Amino acid sequence: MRIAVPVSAPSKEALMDEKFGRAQWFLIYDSQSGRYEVVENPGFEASSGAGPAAVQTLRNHSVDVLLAENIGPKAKDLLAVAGIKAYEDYSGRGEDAIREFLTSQGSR
Amino acid sequence: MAVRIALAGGKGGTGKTTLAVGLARAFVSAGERVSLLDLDVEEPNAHLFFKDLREVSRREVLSSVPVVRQEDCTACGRCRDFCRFNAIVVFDKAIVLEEFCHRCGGCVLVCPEGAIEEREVVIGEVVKAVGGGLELVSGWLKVGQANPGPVIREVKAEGVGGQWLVLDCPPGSGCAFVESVEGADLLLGVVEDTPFGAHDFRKAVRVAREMGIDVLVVVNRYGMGNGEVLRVCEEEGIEVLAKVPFREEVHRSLARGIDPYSASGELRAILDSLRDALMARVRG
Ligand code: SF4
Ligand code: SF4
Repeated sequence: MRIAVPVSAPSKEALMDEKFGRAQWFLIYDSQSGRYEVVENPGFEASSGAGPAAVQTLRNHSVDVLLAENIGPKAKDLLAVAGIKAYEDYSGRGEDAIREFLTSQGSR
Repeated sequence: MAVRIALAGGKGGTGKTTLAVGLARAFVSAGERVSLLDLDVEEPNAHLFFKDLREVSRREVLSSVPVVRQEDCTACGRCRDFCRFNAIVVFDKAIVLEEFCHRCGGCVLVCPEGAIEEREVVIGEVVKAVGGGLELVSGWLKVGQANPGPVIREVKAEGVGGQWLVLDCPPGSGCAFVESVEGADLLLGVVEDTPFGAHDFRKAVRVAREMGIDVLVVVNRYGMGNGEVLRVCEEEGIEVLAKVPFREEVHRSLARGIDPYSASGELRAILDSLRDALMARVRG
């Protein structure tokens, strides 16, 4: 499983970016390998369609789960089409959000 | 030749529609033929101020949207990379997101498989009605459609019956605004006497001036703020044609849909003098 979190700086200690579509980076955790990576979201400054571009980025990196503070309705629909499960109300440090999620899933 | 007066506010909620309706009615009361065009097609509301509207025509507005033939798409992603509106995503196949698509047609051309074709869909409606002594043409953009341009153009093509065309323009200073004020003889900025919105208004003014359109101003809710907006007008060299003081009772009547020209004697007098000022300016 690959879990992504929008972050405000390219590090796993970074705080989450509250605007999912406008985040410059995504922190991705791969539960198979136990590794973290940071990928850039090229659409973060797009004047149109930042949401779709962000979903595309996630999809390109084979993300299964997105944790975010909040996600707009259009982006939510598109995430569903992309087959990415999205969970809201996460905040704080990116790494902590991922841990919290894994704990809640009981699959650490 | 008809005279086109575009009313715009930079941001929304400045009372622009109220003044557009009021001004249109003031022209009617001077015996002029008037078309009121509601170009705020994402949220048309001028019709709410009329009790006696009789619909005379209703037309659908079509526009072509790109559609991907799934069986021919190889998911190469060229269409997505081309689309600067991010209106295409490619998961297993390309998907066009209509609400972001601006109909540039580019994706159709760049697809190496010829898998994208354009199909006509209904994106909105134009309704013409008569009432209150004038002709009202309203445009409606369907929810989920990104591009109001074709609807705005259709409203402008329909609303040509008057000697005076009063254009209720959309907020902002983007494509919809430009499309709306294009060809206007003058732009009447409706600004509130508050510190908010000065920035948006300045932007709209710059855009209009770049298009070669003269800008004049009506200050609405005068007395509510600190006069900041008057300073902005002075800085920009914009003549203030009228100041509409804020009156609680009038505000409440308008919220109930009372026509602004009948809402109060004071407002009527202001609208009449605004009309006279415009007539004098245009006809010399
Ligand atoms: S027509 Fe233009 S805006 Fe619409 S999806 Fe194709 S490239 Fe994007
Ligand atoms: S360019 Fe054509 S083939 Fe390539 S992803 Fe787009 S629709 Fe599919």
